Amino acid sequence: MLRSLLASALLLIATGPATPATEDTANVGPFLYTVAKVFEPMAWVHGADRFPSGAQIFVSDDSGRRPLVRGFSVSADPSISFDGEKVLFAGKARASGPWQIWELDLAAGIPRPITSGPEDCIRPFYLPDDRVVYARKIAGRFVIETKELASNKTLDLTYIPSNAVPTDVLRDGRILFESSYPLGAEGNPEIYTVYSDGSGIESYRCDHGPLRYAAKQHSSGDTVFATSRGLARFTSARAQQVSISGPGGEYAGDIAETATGEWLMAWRPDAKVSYQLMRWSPGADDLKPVMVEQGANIVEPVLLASRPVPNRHPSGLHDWSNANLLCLNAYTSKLQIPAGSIHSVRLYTRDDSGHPRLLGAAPVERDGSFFVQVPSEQPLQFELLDASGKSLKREAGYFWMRRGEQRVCVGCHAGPETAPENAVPQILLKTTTPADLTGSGAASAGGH
Amino acid sequence: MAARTPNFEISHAAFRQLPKLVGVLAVTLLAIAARPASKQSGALLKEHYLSPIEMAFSPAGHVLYVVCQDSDEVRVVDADSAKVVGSIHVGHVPRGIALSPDARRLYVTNAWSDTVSVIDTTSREVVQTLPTGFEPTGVVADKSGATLYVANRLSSDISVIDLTSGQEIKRLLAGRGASYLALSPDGKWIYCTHIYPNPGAIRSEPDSEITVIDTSTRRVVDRKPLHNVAGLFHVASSADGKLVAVAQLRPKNLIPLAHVEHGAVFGDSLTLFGDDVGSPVQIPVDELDRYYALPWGVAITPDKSKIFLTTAGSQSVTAIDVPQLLKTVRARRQPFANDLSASAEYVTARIPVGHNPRGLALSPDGKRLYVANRLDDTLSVIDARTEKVTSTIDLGGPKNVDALRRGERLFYTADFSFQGQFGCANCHLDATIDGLEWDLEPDGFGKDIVDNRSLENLAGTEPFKWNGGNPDMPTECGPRTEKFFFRSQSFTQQQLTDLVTFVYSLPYRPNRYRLANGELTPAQERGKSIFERTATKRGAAISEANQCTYCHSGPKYTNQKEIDAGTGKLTDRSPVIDVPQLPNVAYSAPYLHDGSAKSLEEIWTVYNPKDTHGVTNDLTKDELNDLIEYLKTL
Repeated sequence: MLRSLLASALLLIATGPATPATEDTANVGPFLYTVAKVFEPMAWVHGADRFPSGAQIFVSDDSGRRPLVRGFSVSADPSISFDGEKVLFAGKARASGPWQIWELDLAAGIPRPITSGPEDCIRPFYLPDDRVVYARKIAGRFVIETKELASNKTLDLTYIPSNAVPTDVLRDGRILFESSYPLGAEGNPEIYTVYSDGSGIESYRCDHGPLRYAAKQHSSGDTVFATSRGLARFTSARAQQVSISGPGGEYAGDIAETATGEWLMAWRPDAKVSYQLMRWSPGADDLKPVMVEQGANIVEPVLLASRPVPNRHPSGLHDWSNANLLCLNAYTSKLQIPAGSIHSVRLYTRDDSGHPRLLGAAPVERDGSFFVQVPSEQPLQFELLDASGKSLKREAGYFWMRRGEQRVCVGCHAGPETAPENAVPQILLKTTTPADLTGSGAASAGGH
Repeated sequence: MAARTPNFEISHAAFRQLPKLVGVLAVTLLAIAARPASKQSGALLKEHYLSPIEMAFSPAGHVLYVVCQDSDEVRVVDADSAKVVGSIHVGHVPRGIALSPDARRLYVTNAWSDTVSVIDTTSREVVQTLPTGFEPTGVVADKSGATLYVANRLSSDISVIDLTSGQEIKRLLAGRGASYLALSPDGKWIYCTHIYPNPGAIRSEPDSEITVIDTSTRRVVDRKPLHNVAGLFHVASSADGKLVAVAQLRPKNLIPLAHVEHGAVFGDSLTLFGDDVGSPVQIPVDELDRYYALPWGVAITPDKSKIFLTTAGSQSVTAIDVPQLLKTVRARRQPFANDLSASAEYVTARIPVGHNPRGLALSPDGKRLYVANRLDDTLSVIDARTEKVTSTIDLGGPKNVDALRRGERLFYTADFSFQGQFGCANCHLDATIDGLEWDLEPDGFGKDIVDNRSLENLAGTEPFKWNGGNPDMPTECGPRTEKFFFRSQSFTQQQLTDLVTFVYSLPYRPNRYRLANGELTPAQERGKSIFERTATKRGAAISEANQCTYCHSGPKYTNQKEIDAGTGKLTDRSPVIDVPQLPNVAYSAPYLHDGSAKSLEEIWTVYNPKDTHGVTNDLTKDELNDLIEYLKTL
């Protein structure tokens, strides 16, 4: 007990005073926030700590402010249960230990550990059906993992050689996460989605460009995120991000939407100063301070309220060790592939030293279709070849498929805005058996 | 020639009362039929709902006539006071409505009576009943008021009726499932749409058509082909006649249904044609992450500034800016029906309304849009300028929502599929079929192609699925649908029970091939003998298992077993299939488990070379015709 109190006191010293210099929380309602002396929102890209100097979650409500939990060396990443009665957070009981995921029953007031292990677990979120999702560092890299709270059964969702961290759970049940672009390679943060069984990995949109991070879905259904040029959103209607016209400065993302429609967000005028908690009525010219504190970042605002439960994803994975992928038409692409040029497709994985390893090749039909069986749960990369074996296009990054997953691709980098044309792919008129590209059997490279 | 006799006359008295709760009916049959779903808790209430589906405005805009499908009536609404001021009883399952040019007559199609009720708008009484083809749906009078055109869904034709004599003077061959009609403003053309695709080869892209009739000659003069379209609904013309819009579905039935995202199962769209756009062009109304399912009713404002579209599975109305739409159409040189981002260029609003919105009507001044919320018994009134609902008119239906209506709402909504892309009613159009074959994912890609089966009177036909894999309806509609169709969290146990209750309540549609006296025509008698024969024409015994009546036995002509009738294909994992029921088999083409037979005849002439699906190769063409005539009576 004494040790816990001491740790809390040390944290308060590290994060500055609990009482902000400026405070205007009127009409915001109860909310949580994280206070940190140093906050590096994109440190996860390199597997580093976003709160290298510690952090602590506070509660703001009618009775004032107070730490969410006591007895923790550090705490951050609060996330509220759908009924508004529990909080998931990442915390360290000891400053020298790893971040772990904890759950606090707000009525009972006593946190319980959700994860354990030698490396960090961060960014927890609730899933339907009493599951949670978070990022666990494995061998120095963040992997997204789910856990059934009743059975403690865990499931890895990401299988790429780069860090991946969840940022929200969409109402349609998909997990919103951030990783580098190209996926599985070094690059800027980008936003992706995956089903809660690890299938269906894809980029949220294909207008890759500026870095994007800390995305949250708002009540409108839009996904709002921070970029290097301010805030932006993805709407259901558009294939490209839509810039949000707001005051200049830097935004930390993770924007909370209040009951009155205001946005609660961490902002700073430039990188020389700390993030402060501001409120903004979308479209307004200025931000209004909610909490401003010299020398401390106030980030990760989360409303302490119930919210709709996202849809549960009913996993349709088969009990197979491999996965099947059907490409309907490789010519359906943003990449401008000349008609009739594609002859075959190669599949690579990535070895432990980071080098591509060829798994096999398969024919591509005249209509651009191919059907392949691929190894599951490892990095995969396609390359399209012409009749002479020359590379036409090759993926820059990697993706994966879960064991037993069957997936249909509209094309090769077709973009999520492209629905498939209704036609029987020619490959299925030839065979309903996928070409074996698992690396374990003979593969055919002959095309049309 | 089959007889067309309506032996399904319904007592009009049964429908005269206002639809209110007439009592608590312990609907024993429904309770039985709903097995083996979890039973409804307590007695089933059977409310008498109205189910408004179509509307027509009086020329001055003061009176709105509302066709109520389930109460067999037209409710008359005073548009100024927004009150129901009258009710006119019509035939069974009314479905379409049109005013005569002089507004003195109202024509209402009665889909299950095969008639049109002619109503005097002054006295508000039915003054004449006109016979039509099978399941009349859309109706329109020509500009002179002398001729009435009626689209007959089941006979896939258009009745041309001389209104002076009251006689049907000809039938025009339409596309399959002829359903909706629109008259061009100059009166020269009538456009007809169809809810089913025209018959095609197995695993070929579905093709539909817009049938164009020249009103001066009363002949079909054009069939505008619509590629990869199955399911056409309302058709509407702009006041200048230069823009015609058709609500339609673009199914993706040929692609393995492995997931739903990116419009993988259905595309909701419009076809546009006319001078403004030239050749027909298909335009999407969906978005990347949200779908607007079952586009159904279309209206174009008098000034051609907006198109309003009901999306019956999404409980909403989509508003489209016509100038922006035309700009997009002209700017795009390639087809863009599959571009889910296109609608951002011309859709201005998604307006939430009631359950299963169907027909819509603009006030003559174009300021107000009325939407028939079929499963709410209400009309939403929308300000056409602000694109907001300004009021809701209660048509006076029961306020209690019973299990059947709850189930019907679940059947028609797309809310339960991933991102709201489709619902049960997308494939079971108006609770029937879609005329398509689908490639479902669990059995592998390109394997076990399956025809869509009828839902009529299913109790006693278990198991379900073409391989008989689902022992009961809760299994069919529950986890299987959630996991392999909707790919998203679906029904609660109570919702599933409600849905199953509704599905089991679907009755047979009237059979038009039976004589009123219950006797068979000579051809049908000969066909019956063939159906029941135990020996070939040469006298050789037909093994019991290969006699028609062995598998097609019992009250619903199925022994509810799985058998190998030799109809399996190379892509089938197993040749063993569930024996289908036969009642109303005439309506459910294509045939066989994979939909490979375009007609009943092809079952035997193409797909029974070795007499494994009954002995039929000794039959002459005429004898096969007799067999078919008999089957149509079942």
